[in-house]
Amino acid sequence: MISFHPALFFIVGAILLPLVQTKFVRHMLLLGTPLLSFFSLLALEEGALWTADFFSYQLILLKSDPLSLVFAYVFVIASFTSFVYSLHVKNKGEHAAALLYVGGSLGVTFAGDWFTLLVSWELMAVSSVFLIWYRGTRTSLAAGFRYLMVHLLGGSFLLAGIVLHVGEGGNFYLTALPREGLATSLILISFILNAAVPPLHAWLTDAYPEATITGSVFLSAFTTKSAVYILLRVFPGAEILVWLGAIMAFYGVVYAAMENDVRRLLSYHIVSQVGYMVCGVGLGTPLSMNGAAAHAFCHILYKALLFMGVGVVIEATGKSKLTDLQGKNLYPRLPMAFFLYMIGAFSISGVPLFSGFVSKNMIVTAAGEVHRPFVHTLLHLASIGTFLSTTLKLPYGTWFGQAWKNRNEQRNLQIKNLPINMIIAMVLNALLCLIIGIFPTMLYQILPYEAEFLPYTVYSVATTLQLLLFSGLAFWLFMDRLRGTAAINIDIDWIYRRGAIWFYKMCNAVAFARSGLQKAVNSLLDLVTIIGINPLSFPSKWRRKEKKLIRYDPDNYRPPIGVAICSFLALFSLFFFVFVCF
Amino acid sequence: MKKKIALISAVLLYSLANLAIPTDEAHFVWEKFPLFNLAFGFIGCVFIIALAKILGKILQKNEDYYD
Repeated sequence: MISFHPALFFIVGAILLPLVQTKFVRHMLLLGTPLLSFFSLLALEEGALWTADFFSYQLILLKSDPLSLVFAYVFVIASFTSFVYSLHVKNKGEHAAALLYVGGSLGVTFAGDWFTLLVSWELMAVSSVFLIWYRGTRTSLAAGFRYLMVHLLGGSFLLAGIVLHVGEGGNFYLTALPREGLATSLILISFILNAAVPPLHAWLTDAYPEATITGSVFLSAFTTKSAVYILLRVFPGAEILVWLGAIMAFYGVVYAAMENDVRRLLSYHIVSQVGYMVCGVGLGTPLSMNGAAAHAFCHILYKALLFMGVGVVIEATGKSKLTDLQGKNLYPRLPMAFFLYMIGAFSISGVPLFSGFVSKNMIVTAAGEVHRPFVHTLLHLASIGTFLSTTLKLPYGTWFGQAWKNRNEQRNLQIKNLPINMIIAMVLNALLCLIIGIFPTMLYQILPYEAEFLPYTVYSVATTLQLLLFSGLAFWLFMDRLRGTAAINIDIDWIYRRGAIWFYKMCNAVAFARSGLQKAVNSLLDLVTIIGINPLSFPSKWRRKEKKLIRYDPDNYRPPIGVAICSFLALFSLFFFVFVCF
Repeated sequence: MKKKIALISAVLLYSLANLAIPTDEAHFVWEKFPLFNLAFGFIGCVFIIALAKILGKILQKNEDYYD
């Protein structure tokens, strides 16, 4: 049976899109591509299905197994709802970039060898940057450039690692890597850069909030989660990932609690949630790795829903900061967005009956089973922080916020009419979150590893409710301290954003020093020349300030080039004459 | 005032009710303390708010900081 590469539909779609003239055909293309891709996924058999010869290597373009299928399913489903969300956007370039971006992520998911992985990896980086640039503001242009630079750096690390790995006689096909060596370190750095592990995470929180409204929905889903997929494949059970993941889960929530821009707040929660998955990969038990895959699945859906929710608010009001939104009482005017956002918010906080509960608890339980008390505690803390900022602070500030109202500002916000497709997309994602939360076996049966897990036990439901209700109580008591403040928070990107200014200054200083030195040496040379003309006359000349110095000009003392040619020709003919005659 | 009394009594009732939950599934000793998770939720949340406030003093800059 012929099998189609699911990424192929997206790439062909991106090529066809510029030719499309009418709105109807554009809509059909955008919605049809994920649907066709989904059907091709359902028909995929396991194993290496597409191979190609490339010099002396055999590339595996399409290799499917249960692990790649889990991620591919959710990538295609998320791309469908995200295209529904962005259907009203007229910019074909943005749609084409999104199609290529999804195609690249599916390429990563089904890559069977390092070379295919590298090409898909770079395709994702290059296409996704347009989702940022199409916002068209000065800040988005700058953020996009920084995003691209960081990802190209990560891509070069990957390339260098692959070249070293394959050059040392390592396996050309994607398998778990040995735990040491320079090649492994380089590859790991490029993977954790894409997974936004601190200190390599700042590209995410810098760039995602500057993307187009619909673009940030796409961005939230693919880059970090394809990195989680590849970590699961190449670095299962790597001890360093346990610590990086646990710290990152906590790091994200602390920054989110300080944040004022709603999309940046959610971006910090991507960092935090991916921390759970990275930790799950590092723990390396079947349950924790299943948890990482399941959490990626749920996370893509609810995170897209959250970005859609705040996207609706930004689309309607043009404001993205809590300081501009709080106290404006948007709730009566955007109630649907609020309710659907809250489904995503309950999912990300892991409230029972919502999707995050059935996936996040797998990782936390796995950390408990292998007796990692510190990791377990950090993950619990991160859950509390997630509830605090995504479920309480952000929605309260955005849709209500009477207690945080600025006293001197009374003007109400103008609300634009919303395209209906945005709400439909949110409904779709919210339904998926609820279905997974209520019927978790649907998700569990496609997970790649063998592990038993019962999400709904009395103990786990009660524990979660206890944690969340009492953190809610703390929020209510200290609510005043969490109001948005008009400020930006310095993060690791400070090093290259401020550092760049200092680097320019340093370059200028070096250039200044060099030209100063040149001037000094030149004037010294002049002085020597003055003395060298006639040392005896020098003092008198100095006094009379006679500066009729004849500067040294080499042409004064050397014959024109014709003389050299002439003498060469003369000598040559002389030799020739002598040679011929005798 | 009535609201406060209602809230405090609700919190107390909820805490009492939670004493009845069996803790056999807990992975660590401290999780078996009565009402551990309630306290952890509250203290953890206060801790995060406090940490964010303290870090904010150091890390928060004007919005035109990078311009």
